[in-house]
Amino acid sequence: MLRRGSALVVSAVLLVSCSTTEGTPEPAADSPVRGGTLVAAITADPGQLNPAITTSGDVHTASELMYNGLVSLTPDREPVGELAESWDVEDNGALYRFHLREGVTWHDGEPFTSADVKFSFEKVLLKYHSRTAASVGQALESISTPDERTVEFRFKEPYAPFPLQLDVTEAPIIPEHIYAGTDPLENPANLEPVGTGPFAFESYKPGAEIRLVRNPDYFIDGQPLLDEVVLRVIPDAESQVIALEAGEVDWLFGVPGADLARLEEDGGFEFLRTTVNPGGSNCIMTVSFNLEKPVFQDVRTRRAVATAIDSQQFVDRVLFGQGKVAEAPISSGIDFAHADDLPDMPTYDKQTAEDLLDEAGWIRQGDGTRVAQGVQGIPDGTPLSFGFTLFTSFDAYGDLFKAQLADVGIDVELDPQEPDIFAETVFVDRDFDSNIISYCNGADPEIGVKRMYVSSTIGPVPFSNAAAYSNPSVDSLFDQARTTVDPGERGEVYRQIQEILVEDLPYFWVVETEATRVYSSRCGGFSQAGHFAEAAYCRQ
Amino acid sequence: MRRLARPAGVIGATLTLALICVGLLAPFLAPTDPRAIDGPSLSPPTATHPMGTDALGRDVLSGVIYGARTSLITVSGVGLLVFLIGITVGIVSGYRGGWLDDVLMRGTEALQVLPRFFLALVVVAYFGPGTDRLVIVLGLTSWPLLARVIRSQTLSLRRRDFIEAARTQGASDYRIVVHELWPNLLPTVFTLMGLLTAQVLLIEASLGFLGLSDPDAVSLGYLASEGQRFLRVAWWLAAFPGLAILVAVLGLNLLADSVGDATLRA
Repeated sequence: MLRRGSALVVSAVLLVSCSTTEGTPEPAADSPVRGGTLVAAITADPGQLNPAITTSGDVHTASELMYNGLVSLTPDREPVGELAESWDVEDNGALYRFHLREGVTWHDGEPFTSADVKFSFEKVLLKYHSRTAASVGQALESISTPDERTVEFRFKEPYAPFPLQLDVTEAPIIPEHIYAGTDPLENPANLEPVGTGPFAFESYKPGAEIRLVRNPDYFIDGQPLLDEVVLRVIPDAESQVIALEAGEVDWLFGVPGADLARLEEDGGFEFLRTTVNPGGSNCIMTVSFNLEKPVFQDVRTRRAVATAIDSQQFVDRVLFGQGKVAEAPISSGIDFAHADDLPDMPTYDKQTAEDLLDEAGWIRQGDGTRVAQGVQGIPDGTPLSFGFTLFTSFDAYGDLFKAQLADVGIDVELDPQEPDIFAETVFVDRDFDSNIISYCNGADPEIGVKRMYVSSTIGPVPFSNAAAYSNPSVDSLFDQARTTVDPGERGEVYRQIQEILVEDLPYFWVVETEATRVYSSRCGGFSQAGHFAEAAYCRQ
Repeated sequence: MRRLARPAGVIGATLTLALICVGLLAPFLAPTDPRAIDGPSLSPPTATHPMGTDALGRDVLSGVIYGARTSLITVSGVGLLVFLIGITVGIVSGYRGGWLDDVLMRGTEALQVLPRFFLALVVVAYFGPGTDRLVIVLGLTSWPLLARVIRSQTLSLRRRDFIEAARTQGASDYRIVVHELWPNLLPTVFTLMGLLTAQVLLIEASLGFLGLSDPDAVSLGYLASEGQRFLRVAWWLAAFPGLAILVAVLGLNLLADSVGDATLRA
């Protein structure tokens, strides 16, 4: 089988004008201008600017404009060439040969070659980039560079999702001549990056701002248009909105739902809805049940909790419409794998929830909390009460979860924690009953779905299999999906997996979240993902 | 007590009494469970929801009432601990004197230099949020001021003639402390307790505002911080809990002040 990816340059016209307000005059999206400065607000100081050594959303947001991947992903998550001009797939998907673009140079003038790609993968990405290391690293056999313009990746078995894992987020390419022989975590270039991207590094004031200037030698003719991009650190979301309204910044990566409606009404701003979040794309807010706890042994109890959750209320009152009810374990953003008509997928039904709890032996006492009466492994008279561990920033989810479950006689004890403590409590100590996590599926189930369900990922790695779910048929189906190359056939395997998952319910998938980028009407040409400002412009 | 009848005293007493009543009677006063999803999202104040609803559709009035209850519980708990420890240390130190006084006062000084708010932050960060540990950490660290003032009062009182007189009549130490000393300390104790509990209330609200209050209890500070997120679209979310904190702290302060004034003039 031979497949060629065309080196399509994603045209600016395709990506702009996603304005959600109808009737207002479109900004002159088709008349971009040269020059000017874009000021974008970022929520946190990144600390360093090397996207290859981390999956931190803050670092990637601040640094991706300076780097490239072998491919970039279109808004539909299709791979198109970036540093690679085209690629061949051989051996039924076990060998990928990339033909690199001619005449690409690093920001310091050195030429970009296949050695940079090999170095980036072998010495950096497969060691320090946790998602790529865990997926590609497991499957890869070797990387070879037949000549300066060609790279070959050989896998132990056919590996279908590879092209989707080569964008600047999953696999940014860094310069060998700067990083060779050094500790990539400590290299001074992490603070003064040298990349191939549309913008080059200018200055970095920790905690304040990062300034990038136009790369005049960028390999896409005529891009970028902006002279300068300034990334300004403004930690508080409310302050970001105020800065946008005051004209101090031109671009926000996200805006709180309640303010969105107001900005839409006020006018003067454009909106771009996307499922790409700094931590990954296609994220689903997911409730995990700790299957090691007696209270969640009975699937009827888990199903009762799932049917007691009114997901629409989460969309309306927590997300303010920035998302939708999850219909399946796999995100609707992964079109070929998403199964939206699973008959066993729980939907909100209070009566069913109450019946299931009665059946499971949790008996209601008046209006209060249910108590055990003949539940296996639980002494009679124990109240139906369990903990719910969550990021402190997800408190609205916790409050709504608690209120909805109280309605069917379940008592929930909230346990908010800071992210790093949360990762330790849930994945290392496993000291929790249930939790909620934003699991980002990525562009392919291999990237962000598999880790939640296969038994080999139970253990200390953060944001892996939180439920401690283990089902041999699911394990083998995931193996089958990885080595199946035809998207239709792969989709069928993922469908079977999802049928088992909605029956076993180790998790419950509540809502798919979206972010809304907001920018000043005098700017345009933005992209949803990757190099958001590659083709952007701002009229002065 | 007649002097409490001045306006500040009346207002202080009324507000404090209101805080206590609302706290005690919360289950009867609140229209709904403060956590129940009871109305539309972000509804401004209406007849059914006099203080409006929050983003999830919870009744703000019920939240404020239960928040006052949480504040009252914290303040009472801390107040009790401070009262017991502060009074005991102060009187023993002042009345006994000698090496015991030295030991107690060095200990008091050591505690006095601890920043209470940050200590509370550390405890919450380490043990997780909860009303019980908040009461303990604030109770165990808030008494030094009371102890020191009581000690100095005791020092000056025990040389007064009426104490000497009681002693020459052969009264026991217990009798002297309880019947002669205590009534004279009472106004000071009352004033200081008012000020200390007002501080505790503010600390509790601040922790809640930082998201460090017990997540399963409703706290005024937490409600106010939730409101901050919606400041531009729903003023009522921050305004009413904020007002409730103001009223409660004002009440305790006014009451404490007027008691102090009243006794000074007596």
